[in-house]
Amino acid sequence: MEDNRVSDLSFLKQFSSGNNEMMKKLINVFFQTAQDALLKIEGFIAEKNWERVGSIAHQLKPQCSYMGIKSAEPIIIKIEDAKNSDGSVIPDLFISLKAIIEKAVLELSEEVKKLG
Amino acid sequence: MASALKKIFLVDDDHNNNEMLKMHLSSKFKLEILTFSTGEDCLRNIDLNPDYIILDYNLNSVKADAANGIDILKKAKELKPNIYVLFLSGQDKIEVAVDTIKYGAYDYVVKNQSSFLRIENCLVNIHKNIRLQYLAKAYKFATFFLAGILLAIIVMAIVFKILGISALNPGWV
Repeated sequence: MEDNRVSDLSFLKQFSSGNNEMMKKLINVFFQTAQDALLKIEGFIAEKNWERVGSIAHQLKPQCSYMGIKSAEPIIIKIEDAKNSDGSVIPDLFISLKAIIEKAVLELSEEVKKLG
Repeated sequence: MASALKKIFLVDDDHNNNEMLKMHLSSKFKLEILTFSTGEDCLRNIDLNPDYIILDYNLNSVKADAANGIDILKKAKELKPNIYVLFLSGQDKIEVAVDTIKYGAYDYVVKNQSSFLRIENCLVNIHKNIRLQYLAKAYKFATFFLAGILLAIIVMAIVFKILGISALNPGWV
């Protein structure tokens, strides 16, 4: 369903001026960045290293913005805030963030296929 | 479009952001662009004399002990006082932005979909400011030069008058 989409490539289309190769490159870099970040965050959550969790999540924020994943941004902000106060809420926030990003990756993979 | 070839350092631990900004700036300006993932790397290359540095605040996602952007800003300004430093950061806390300006950053741009355009506008504004400063100096010089000539004419007129030399009858005709 179109309404349930979590990503929006409007910005990327404008940024790349309709250059499909550039769009594909940037989306693929996002896949790599997001995958690396999620793995690192899982590792730091296991160590209860909230400071590092916050730093890695912070790096994801602009990337989510560029891919139009608006629903991820407030969760990332909560994770960043929680690193300095109550880190125990971070694992649940991360589960929500991971679900959104994984859904976005599926959507964006379809977009990459359409781009040829 | 800026006409002169300037050198710019992009400093961000987010490789994707560096590449996107590089793509955007390359399409708008004639610039020599170098990218670094830590501020320490940037400082190690400061002798290459960049005209501008675009600096992230949080630089520790790759190297946990990497210095933050404000520490790098202070050091860069100490080494190259005339350098223009712009912050481009996902950190939207106002106190961080205020601190960067306090320590000499030209502007602070929060990373989002409009940030590339805002950085572009900042560079255009800096270029305009530099041009205005140059024109102001040239105007000041021209004013002093003309005032000097005027003063010389007045002095000569007074001297001629004292000596009784008339412009209509200079005495050597």
